[in-house]
Amino acid sequence: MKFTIQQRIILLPGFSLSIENINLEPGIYHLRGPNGSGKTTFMKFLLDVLPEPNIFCENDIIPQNKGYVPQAYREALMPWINTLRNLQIFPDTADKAISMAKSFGLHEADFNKATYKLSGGQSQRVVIARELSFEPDILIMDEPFSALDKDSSFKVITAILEYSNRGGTSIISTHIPLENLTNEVLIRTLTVERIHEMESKLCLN
Amino acid sequence: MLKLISIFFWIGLWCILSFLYDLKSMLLPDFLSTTTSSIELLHNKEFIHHLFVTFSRVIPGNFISIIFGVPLGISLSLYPCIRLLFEPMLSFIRGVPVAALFPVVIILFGIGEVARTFLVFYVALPIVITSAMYGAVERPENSGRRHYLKIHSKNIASWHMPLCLLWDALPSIFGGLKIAVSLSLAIIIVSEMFFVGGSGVGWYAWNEYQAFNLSKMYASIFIIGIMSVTLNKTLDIMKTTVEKLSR
Repeated sequence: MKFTIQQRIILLPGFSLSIENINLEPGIYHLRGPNGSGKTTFMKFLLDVLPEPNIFCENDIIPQNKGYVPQAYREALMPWINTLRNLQIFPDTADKAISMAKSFGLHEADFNKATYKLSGGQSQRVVIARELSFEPDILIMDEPFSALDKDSSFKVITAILEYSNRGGTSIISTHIPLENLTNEVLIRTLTVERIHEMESKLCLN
Repeated sequence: MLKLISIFFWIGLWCILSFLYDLKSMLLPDFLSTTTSSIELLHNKEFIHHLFVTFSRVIPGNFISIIFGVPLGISLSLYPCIRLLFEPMLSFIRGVPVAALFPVVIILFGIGEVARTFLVFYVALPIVITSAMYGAVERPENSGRRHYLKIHSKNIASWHMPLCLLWDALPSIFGGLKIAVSLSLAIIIVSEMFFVGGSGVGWYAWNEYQAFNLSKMYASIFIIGIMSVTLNKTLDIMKTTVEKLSR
């Protein structure tokens, strides 16, 4: 699904992020920029969870079905249910989420655990498996490899590539060069440049 | 370990003071005779019945305050304007000593169990509302999960969001219940002493005082203290369990 955002400026207290016209085709987009430049602000804008209410324009084309893997990945887990029930949180794709979690290296024994007993890497893989199997129109991932070893990171990026080949759009914010994980040449870049202390600019390279 | 040392320190101090100052008097009994009387009381069926009656008076009022207070407090957390409207009233209610309401409660409800339940409810409700309200308010440490649930609001079961709010508020609610239960116990014991009733630890202690059985009077106070500590500890464990599960 195509994704369009008209040129605008996102204003927050003490910070502004200007966005050029963006047309995103299905594929993988690497969101890069220095720390504090506004990458998370942009992701929250896309997800419509900024403090300001809906700031999309009528000409924007924003997918309704969104997926999100937060940087603090445990926030995407519900502590009042166990790991298995967390994987089954989207009823239509529950089985797919379980099989994807197994492909990421999780075992049956891990599924019965309370979420606080999962390691960081296990928790992150559970969230990623769940979001990918949900097959959203757009999947936004904030540092999805932060708790993963190289082998798990490779499995995850492979799954993300398969998802984008099926028509999904993923925006990945990470300091890891994605070219280290895959030879995929069609990873495009969204760059957030800091203009000065309180202003940044985002453009599609 | 430090807690154990502290307990032994205070017991040791009590024993030393009673040895030095011959405290077989109304002011402070010695530790050994208090402990002996306590053990005897715990084998006394009549006293156990009074103990049970006192704690059963604490529970209904607190339970009703949880039923009403938790949903109301969580709702107030979602709407800052309504929260600001309610806060002065809650502060005022909390500020009025419940003992000042005794005459009003007697007129409205008499001197039976309904009056006592209302007193406990009056004491506990503002505490539970405030605890739930401030526990559920959105702040940086709990906003992430709420954003996630908002993003997927059309795709997952609708009960996850209210459960998320309740879960965030639980540690604060348990903390508030510790205070509410302690205050409820105090008010129930006072009401047992001074309202006509014929049951409860407060009534028992007052009776023993009037009969000059001071060791039994102090023993009943000692046992109430131990039971109150146990209740508080239970609520502490529930609070830390929720915090551990949320890690």
